[in-house]
Amino acid sequence: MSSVDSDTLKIPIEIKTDDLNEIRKLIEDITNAENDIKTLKSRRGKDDSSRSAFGNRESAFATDDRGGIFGGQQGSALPTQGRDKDSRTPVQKESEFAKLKNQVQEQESRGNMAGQAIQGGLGQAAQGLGFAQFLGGAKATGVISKIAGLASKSFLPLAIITTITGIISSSLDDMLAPGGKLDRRFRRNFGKESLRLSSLKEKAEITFGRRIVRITTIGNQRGTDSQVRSNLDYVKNGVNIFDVNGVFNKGIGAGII
Amino acid sequence: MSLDLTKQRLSSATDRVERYIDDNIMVWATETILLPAQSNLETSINARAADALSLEKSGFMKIDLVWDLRGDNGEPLHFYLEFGTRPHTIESKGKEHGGADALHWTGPSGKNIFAKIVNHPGSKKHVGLIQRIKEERVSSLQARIISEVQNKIEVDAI
Repeated sequence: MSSVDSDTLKIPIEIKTDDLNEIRKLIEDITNAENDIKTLKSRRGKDDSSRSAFGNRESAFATDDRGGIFGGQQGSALPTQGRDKDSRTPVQKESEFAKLKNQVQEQESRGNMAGQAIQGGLGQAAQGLGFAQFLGGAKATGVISKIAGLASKSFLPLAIITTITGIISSSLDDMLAPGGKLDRRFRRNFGKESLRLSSLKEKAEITFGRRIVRITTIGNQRGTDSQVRSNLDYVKNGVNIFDVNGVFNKGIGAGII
Repeated sequence: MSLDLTKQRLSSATDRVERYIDDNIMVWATETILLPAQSNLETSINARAADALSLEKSGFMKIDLVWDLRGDNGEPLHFYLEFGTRPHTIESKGKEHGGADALHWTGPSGKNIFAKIVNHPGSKKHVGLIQRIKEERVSSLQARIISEVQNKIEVDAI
């Protein structure tokens, strides 16, 4: 069929995949392959030789390792945890921080339990000794009296050790606590920060006395003649107003000069 | 639900294959139809007729084999050749109309022949030439498409 509408001869050629048996068969093969892949992925209990959606139910449920609705699907195709209905997150994830916190708490509880066990053991030994003396009197001085002797000798040193351990432990806890002396968390180092806050040009101006920096050690006294010092005072007396680290006014105070 | 999904997947595979064909059909048609057809035209008519043949993409998986052969005055020679001409007379234009007073051609014996008017018997020598070219060559294009799609699927499978 030709066309002469546009004053040129046009012979249309149209390709239809339905007319091409090979292409049609290829598309069918692709579709079947995709179906098979999906079926194999989702259903382990399925009979592979059958195209039935449900397969052989007897064989699928014959063993303990039966398929169920998801065919014993493995992997993480479905969430293993329940959904947190309060959260917008579809799957509740375990927080790494919470995990770490739990580990620390577990370690601490173990340490406390050990201390309590020692103390409890000592207390029980002392109680046992008293109870044995009460029951047996002077006659029960055999094995029990030996144990009692050992316990009585070791009681005092153990008690001292336990007490010292407790004091050290509580002191360490206090020092390591937030704000304590051994608190290893982030701290601001103003000495280092001042290095970043002032440029070399500013330092030079301060050193040469071109810029006046007023210094006082007393609060709310800034500006009074008697208390106020400036870098000019130090420069005038030949004092280095920057230390070896380049920090301004470190180690010198107003009133010294 | 399951049937709908299956239909969706089926159409998806079909769409993928058809889009691949549509993307490449011009290249494959040029190699399997246009270039051999131009060679045929050059042999059977002349190089101008061959150059006047081209391909145009007219739609999804559709192309047109376009023939636009013009005479010196823009006459659509492609129609005369493709559909043929009936017996007709040819008359000289005359000087007053910007032409010559007589027609001139060289006869079979090599003699110059002049005439004011001639009776042309009509031409059916090349009737349906482009249509025949299409019918002969379209199977090559289909074979090429099948081969290319098979290759494409094999490559994708790898």
